[in-house]
Amino acid sequence: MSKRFSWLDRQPGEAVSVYDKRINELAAFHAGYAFFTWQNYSEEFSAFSVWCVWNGECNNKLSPPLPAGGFMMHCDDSTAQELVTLGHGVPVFVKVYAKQGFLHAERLAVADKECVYDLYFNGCACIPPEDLCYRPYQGEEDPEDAAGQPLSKGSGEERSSFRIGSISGGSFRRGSYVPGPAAGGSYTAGSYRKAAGGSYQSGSYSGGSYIGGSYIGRALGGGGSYRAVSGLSGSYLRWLFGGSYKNFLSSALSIRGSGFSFGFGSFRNGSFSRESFLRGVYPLGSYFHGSYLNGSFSYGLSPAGSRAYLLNGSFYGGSYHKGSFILGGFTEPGRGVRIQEAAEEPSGPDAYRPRRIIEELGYGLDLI
Amino acid sequence: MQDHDLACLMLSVAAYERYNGRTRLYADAQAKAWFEERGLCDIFSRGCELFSVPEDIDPVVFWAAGKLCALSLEEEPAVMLDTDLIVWRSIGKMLKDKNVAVIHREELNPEIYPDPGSFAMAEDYRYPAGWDFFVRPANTALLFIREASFRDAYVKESLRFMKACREHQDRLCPMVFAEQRILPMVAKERGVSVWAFCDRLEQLREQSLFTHLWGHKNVLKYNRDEQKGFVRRCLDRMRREFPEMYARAAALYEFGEYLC
Repeated sequence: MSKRFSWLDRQPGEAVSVYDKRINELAAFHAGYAFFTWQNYSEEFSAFSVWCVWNGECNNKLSPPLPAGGFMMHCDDSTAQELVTLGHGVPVFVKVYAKQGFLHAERLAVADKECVYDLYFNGCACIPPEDLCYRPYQGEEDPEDAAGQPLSKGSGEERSSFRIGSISGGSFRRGSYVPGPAAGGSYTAGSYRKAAGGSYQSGSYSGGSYIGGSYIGRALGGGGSYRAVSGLSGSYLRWLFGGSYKNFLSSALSIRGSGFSFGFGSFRNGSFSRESFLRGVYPLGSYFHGSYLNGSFSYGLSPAGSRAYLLNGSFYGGSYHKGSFILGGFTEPGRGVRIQEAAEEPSGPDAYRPRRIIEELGYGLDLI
Repeated sequence: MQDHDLACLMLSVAAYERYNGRTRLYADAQAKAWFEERGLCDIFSRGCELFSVPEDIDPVVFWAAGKLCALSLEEEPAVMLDTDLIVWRSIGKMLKDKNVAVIHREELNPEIYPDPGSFAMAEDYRYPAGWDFFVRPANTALLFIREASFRDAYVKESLRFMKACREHQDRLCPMVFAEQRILPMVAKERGVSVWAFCDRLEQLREQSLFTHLWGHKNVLKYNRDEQKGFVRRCLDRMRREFPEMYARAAALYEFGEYLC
């Protein structure tokens, strides 16, 4: 495995300037795969937030190594449709350059058939795809030699070496979600998109336990009925309700209860009840920074550990009544915070948006 | 240190020395050697000071612990600046009657500032009873502290937290808690007011006093085109307004490709 990209190393006795020149004259080469999913596509901007799986050996030679997410690629809707229906990763080519003996990525491009799309990093949020099928890398098999062979499916073991987020899922079919192990995922882009686009409104969802993903959230926004969902976390929640509930869930997303589970009884006609959050540590007002339009919201937190606390709340007519919920304290003396009134907490759908934007973009850059 | 980091730092030093006063760089041995190798230690009129972070603080989780350690080394009231922050005008008058000043306050966003109870801490660690956990955090990209006694109390509590923290994965939340949340809590406990140049984040968009790369560093780090553009803008600004610093920058190998 280590020999494959050894030509990127500085050879014994090779001067830094010679090495730099040699590297800088290299053509772009295949260094990873890009994965496209509808939940990472914005029709508004005609852009994908792209999840990449890099060749670990090559990537480790870069300083700094490239991240898996945060890349953007523009393409039109029809191309997007093609890319998400491929069912496997699309090769990413990297032009590297060297400076003072250090190797950096200069330019990235996704190459699909004869089309090349610029890939650039802008730090955009990216949800790891559920099924990562790709041609094996060296270390498993040579990608060229493997041409024509069946694609591999990402696994937890490969995740560590190739930075893959491989997550179990189920299948979408004709507007309903059928829980079960994802053997390649049987949902198609079409039905998937329907789920995301709202035609899933009258669908039903039951059972299932999985992590990550966002399609259900989009469907939730359409008002389906859902029961006994568990195991949602992270970016899943960001998308869970979409639209006007997005920021509410951004706050939920921020909850740092690793391994917490989030189950709810039903979501219908704008009401949301009987939630239970387990094993998490939920800071004050974590769930309240949003507005529920014409909806009611009530829930309870069940302590399943020394740090959980009870909480009740409600949303009416697009605003939440700060004083209407009661928060209990932690049960572990001296280690937790006494939860009190949420009066100082910002509220509203854009409560945290300014920080996000400013932090990601910095400020005063135009002053230079 | 990447090209954009160095360009921003040199511009920051040039601007601060012109409008506000002398500067000193606190650096660990590796960083100091890096600056010495390039002959850059003297761009800081008060030189480059060697310091170290206690070994029982995890340098991965608490990557900015050095700021706290450096802060305690200054004998006189001083402004501490991050290397990605540029101050474009004099701030002396604004700080004249302030005890503690920060660049801006932040919201208690639980994504960044989770409940302290969620941190894995040493068994014997206890948060001080007098801390108010609902005080808004203070961003310390720029920090001014007048009283040495308050500064020492802040540094002491921050280091105590860092030493007792058992987090090994999270590189954000424990660090910003130690740096940006303990400060206003200690201040409130001691009855010291914390003043911010910008009280609300929205104001940062409209102000014309500071440039702060902040999270944009991440984009510059991985996006070569953005990086090139940024470095060229910094060099151009130096050339127009800070010719002495520009001369130093132009002599560096790092910036050779941007000057062609």
